Amino acid sequence: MRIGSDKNQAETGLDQAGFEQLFDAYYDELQHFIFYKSGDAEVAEDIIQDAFLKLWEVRSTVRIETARALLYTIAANLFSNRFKRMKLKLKLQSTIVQDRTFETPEFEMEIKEFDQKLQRVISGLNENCRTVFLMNRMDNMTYNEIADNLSLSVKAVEKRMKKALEHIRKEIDQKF
Amino acid sequence: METGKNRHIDSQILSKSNFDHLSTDEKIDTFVQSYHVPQKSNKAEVFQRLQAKLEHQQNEKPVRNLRVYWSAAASIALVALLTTIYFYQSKPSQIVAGRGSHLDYTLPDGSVVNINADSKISFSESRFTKKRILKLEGEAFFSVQKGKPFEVETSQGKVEVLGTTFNVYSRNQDLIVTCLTGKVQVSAKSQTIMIVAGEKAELISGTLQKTSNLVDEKVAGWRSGEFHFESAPLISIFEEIERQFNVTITTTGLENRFFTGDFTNKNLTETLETVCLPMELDYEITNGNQIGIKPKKK
Repeated sequence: MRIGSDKNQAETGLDQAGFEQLFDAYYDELQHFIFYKSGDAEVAEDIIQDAFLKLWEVRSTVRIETARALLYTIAANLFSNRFKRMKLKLKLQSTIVQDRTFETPEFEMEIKEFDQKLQRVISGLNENCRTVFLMNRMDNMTYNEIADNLSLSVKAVEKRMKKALEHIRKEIDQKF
Repeated sequence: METGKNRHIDSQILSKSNFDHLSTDEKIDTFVQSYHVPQKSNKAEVFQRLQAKLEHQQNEKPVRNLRVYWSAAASIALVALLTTIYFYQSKPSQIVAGRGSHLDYTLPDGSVVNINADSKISFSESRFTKKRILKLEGEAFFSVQKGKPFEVETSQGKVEVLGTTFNVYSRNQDLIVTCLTGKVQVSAKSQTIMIVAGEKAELISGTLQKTSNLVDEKVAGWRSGEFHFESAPLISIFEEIERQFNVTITTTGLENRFFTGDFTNKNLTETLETVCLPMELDYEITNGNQIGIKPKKK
């Protein structure tokens, strides 16, 4: 989801409508972003709410084209200022596991075990790799988009992705 | 559809047989794709909370704005009343008489200052009780209570007294101190002279001089609205009229002319007549407060 960056509209300053547009477009992915870091949905909501409050405070200097990356920066800073890096356990919900019936109890067991293991492995990734990996796989952001949002080079995103994938593969293959 | 990293598998129909056929990468992908981030509240709820916080912030702002309006209104009121009331009622430190008005002020020690039009005195109230020092811009008449030394600072020099009545005129480059009773010490440009009742100290082109012409009450006559001038530059007469009547006077061709005489601050045209008639000048009033003065055509 990208807000139209009108070429004619390169002026700074954000009005109420522009602000709402940004919230509508980026709230979800930002909430996910902090969740990937914190593993806590409520913390993520609070931080993103505060990030938007901060954005509103500086709205006169905000350009709509750069607002997305700015929001990521604000959110990441709010998070790192408030929370020490902690060991966390992501509790992602999977449609594979929930709300369905399984052919056999054994299969149900196998699926649930795989899910738990995968979540444990993802949780064990370092914060940066985990965040980039989940932004790509869960939010379907391209490497370019992630690089823009997190003010990173595409190379750095590739590196983090590679590290994340190698780690997950290795850990999963140990058992299966 | 059989292979390929990014193929989507409908999680609802993921069966044992196709799960077993997936590679590790595909399994990881399939699961990660199926994940979603839990949410405590939905987006609309969060936006509502955000909106409430923003409104709360914005509600505070008008209060601040209101304060700005109040202070603006207060300053306007102050400017309008400067001629009759004191700056900072509780702690006056600057007392101003605007153009066209006089002001009598009693200092904390009981000494009385009559402030002429377009003049200002300032002092620190907390320090004044210890050391009687004040600053003067313009002209003022002082009736000083006996006690500790009393000092009047002007941009041209300093006047020190013990207890007396005297007048200080300090405008442009001029400093004229007239002593009516008691003793006054005047210092300017590192010169100091002492004058007594009936004497006048004047700073003339950088030199402090004592003139002992008999000074009568007329010097400080301005306090009752009577102005007396003795061989005063004609231009300074019109400057005084500007201050007393709050008008703007433009003069031409009055250089090096002097005036001796009196006028009052009761009536503008009468005053203009008083000065212009003997000096053979023409005056013209436009817009009520713009006055042009030029020598009569011969």
